[in-house]
Amino acid sequence: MISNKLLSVNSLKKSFGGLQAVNVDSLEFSNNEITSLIGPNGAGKTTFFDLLTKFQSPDHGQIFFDGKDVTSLQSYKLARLGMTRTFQLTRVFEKMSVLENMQFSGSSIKNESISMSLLKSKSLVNFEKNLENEVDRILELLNLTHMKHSYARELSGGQKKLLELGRALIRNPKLLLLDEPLAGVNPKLAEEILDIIKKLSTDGINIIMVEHNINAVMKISERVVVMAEGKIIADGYPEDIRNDKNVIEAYLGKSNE
Amino acid sequence: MKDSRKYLVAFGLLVISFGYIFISNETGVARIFVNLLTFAGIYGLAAIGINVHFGWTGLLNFGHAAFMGIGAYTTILLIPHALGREGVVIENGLPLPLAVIIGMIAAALLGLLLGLPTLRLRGDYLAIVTIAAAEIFRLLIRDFEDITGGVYGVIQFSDALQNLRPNFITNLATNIEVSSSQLWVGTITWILIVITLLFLNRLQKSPWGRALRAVREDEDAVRALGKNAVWLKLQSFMLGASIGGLSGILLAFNYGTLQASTFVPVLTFYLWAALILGGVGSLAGPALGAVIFWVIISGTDSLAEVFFENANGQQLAGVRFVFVGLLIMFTMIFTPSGILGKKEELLLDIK
Amino acid sequence: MIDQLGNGLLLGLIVAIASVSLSLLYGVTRIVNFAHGEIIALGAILTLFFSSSPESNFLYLDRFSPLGSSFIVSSVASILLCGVFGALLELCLFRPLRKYNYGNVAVLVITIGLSIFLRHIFLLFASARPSSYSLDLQKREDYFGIQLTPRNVQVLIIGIIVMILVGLFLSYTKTGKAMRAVRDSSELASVSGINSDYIITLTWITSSMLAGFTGIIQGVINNVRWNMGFLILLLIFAGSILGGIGTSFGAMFGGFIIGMLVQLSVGLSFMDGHTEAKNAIALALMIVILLIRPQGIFGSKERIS
Repeated sequence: MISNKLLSVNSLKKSFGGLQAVNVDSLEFSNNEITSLIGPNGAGKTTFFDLLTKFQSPDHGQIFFDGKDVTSLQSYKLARLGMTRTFQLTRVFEKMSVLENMQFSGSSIKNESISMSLLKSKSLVNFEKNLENEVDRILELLNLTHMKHSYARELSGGQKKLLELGRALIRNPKLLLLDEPLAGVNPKLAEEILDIIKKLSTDGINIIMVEHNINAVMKISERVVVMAEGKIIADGYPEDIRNDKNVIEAYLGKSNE
Repeated sequence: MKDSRKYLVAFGLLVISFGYIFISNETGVARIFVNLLTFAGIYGLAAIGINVHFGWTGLLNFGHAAFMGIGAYTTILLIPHALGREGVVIENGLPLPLAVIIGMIAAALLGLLLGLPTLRLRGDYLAIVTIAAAEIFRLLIRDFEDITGGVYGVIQFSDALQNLRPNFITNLATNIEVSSSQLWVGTITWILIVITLLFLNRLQKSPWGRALRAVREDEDAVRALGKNAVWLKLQSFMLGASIGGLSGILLAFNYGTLQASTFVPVLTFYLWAALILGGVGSLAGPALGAVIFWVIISGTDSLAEVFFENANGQQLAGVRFVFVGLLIMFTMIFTPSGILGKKEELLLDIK
Repeated sequence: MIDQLGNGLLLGLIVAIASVSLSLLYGVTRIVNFAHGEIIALGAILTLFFSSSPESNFLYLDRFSPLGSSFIVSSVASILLCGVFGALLELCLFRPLRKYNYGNVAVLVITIGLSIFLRHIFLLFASARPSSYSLDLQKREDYFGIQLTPRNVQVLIIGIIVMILVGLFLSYTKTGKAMRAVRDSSELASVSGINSDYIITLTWITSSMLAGFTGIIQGVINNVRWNMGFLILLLIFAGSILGGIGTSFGAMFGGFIIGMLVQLSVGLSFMDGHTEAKNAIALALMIVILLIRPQGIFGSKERIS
């Protein structure tokens, strides 16, 4: 089944031991929406993310990205097709500078071989120069220009989140998967990040984010998907989701146990 | 420690080490120096290879002796040589530079063979597999006597290198009363070290070097950014392996004979001691560590005399290795970054 | 090849028990202890020291002479001492390393240094010649077609009993269950009130005693050598990888299979005169397993990459 949606899954299942973590019959993402994936703890959201980005293999089912069947593709190859993700616990390269973090992310794979790097051809030099310009542009967008040459470990928690975002951006992704972009971030920075996300969406990047901050979710999402116990229990406009009985029950039910 | 202070400490240690040698030997100092610097240079080059594995990429290779051995045997068997005292004499062979390159490629291929199954797994596996490979290599060399010359090993191959020796080296050797062939090997070794370091320096600052540093820190993030972490590690593994192969070739020329007992697994542990001592991750650290390591080793031989009157060869080796073991432990515990290395390097976890 | 079956059972047993001891340690502490072989050797050498007659001359340092005690007493004493040694290693070396957050790479290299150090201390004290315990020579007899000496059979039985006891200990005692809890998740364990440090020390003691026991068995079946631990260490790794690192049952199973295979390979014709190369077969097998099924037979995929 070839799909012309950007991303779609079909009968996706994953279990651990006896526990079924993910059981999604069908889900599709089309172009240019900000979608939030929410749900109570343990609903399987991060596992679902891992399955989508091939950081874990499904027990069953298929995944299609941009018209291709990517179910058995390795994660790095999938990332090359235009799907980039961030992680729940920020993962920047602490021992490298902000500039190098960005350069690594945006650099051409061809240049990253021993032969090309030794030869240091004109095309490589030019590419790197253009790359640095691109890095400057993105750092400006993220307000990180002043930290360009600092080691990533010197950044504050919030700045690291921004850097991770920047690293994802420089790859010109078609689809950006953000795993809890606002986790542990102070309100002011959260506003900044949300603004950036909105801008990115306007620029044409499709965004799916896992988030627990319901206010933020309601504020910028164009679509909300709710997971509970591995299944999708609601999918639609934010206002509708807010009043959906099943959703309320899923969240409340957990605290009544 | 700031960089300049580190270099000062390194220089000071060298001065002390050389001074110690001067003082404890009345005659033949030049010979001792040349011998020490040659061995140290060869070990240093080998350690530089391990540094590419561990310092740059975070890979645990405990079988470097196998890479050195494959490089040596491949090259030496391709140039004119003789197998043992009564064995076959091969008079024709490839020109030395070509044979060396093929030897280095052979080492790189062994790296590919070992790396392919293990580099997608956790680091402990590579450690175990490389130790195993070194053991297998040793056993195979010992068992295939018809190719490797049995007890006497492969001999009569030095000419290929010594024929290239310039006159001024020969003259210098005569003047300071050292072996001209060893002086030549030593000179070539240190020249090769400089060339290798120049290459590595260029690579370190390149996109490839940058990618490697990222892989070392966080492979998952690397994959999420579309890069093939395993292939990058594999390239680094093969590069370090070929450097090891080159050093093995030099070691063979230094001894003048090629025997199974040369490339035993314990050789790898010598190299690690030198690497840790000199500083993981720094370019010149391994070479410095090798020099200081050799001075220490020469020192332990005199210590052995203290414990055992008329120490026999086994006791000497025993005391020497007791110190090597302690050295590895102590440097790893108290100065994990070595003399020239960076401090955070060793708080790394192989996930 | 059949005549190697008896030897195969014995080697299989040795590698199995040794694999369990290593796997137990690794499971709880996450340390790949390259010096484990030396603890095995320690058990054998201490027993040799305690039980040899005072006239026997295997030590270089003439100041120490062996004690000439009974074999059983010597064995028990040396197993206990191995346990003490393990506890000392934990208290003096590995716990400080843990508290100071040394990465597991640094710890691994330290265990390698430790192994070199210990092994050559043994060389200096216990000589390079293989030695044997002063037990009477026995002839091989036929047990259901397998050639073994009566003592070998006793060893087999004792070994199996020990394995069963260890299994029961891990499954049913409070301490054993606590060990498994720490192995599966140390954060969870500490939340449920288990004192990790205490459990880790106990694990070191148990693992070291088992290792010492293995060494004594090996000394009884074969002989005692300064590097007997190192020789067997690679087989242990191969066995643990085959069975699945981190699972006690897997380690035992894998260890047994490797021991059997290695010994049986001695009987193959192309191995004539190349008995040392039997180890190469185990090691080559290990590489193959890593290619095909890296988590081993019983291991789980998540633990390996």
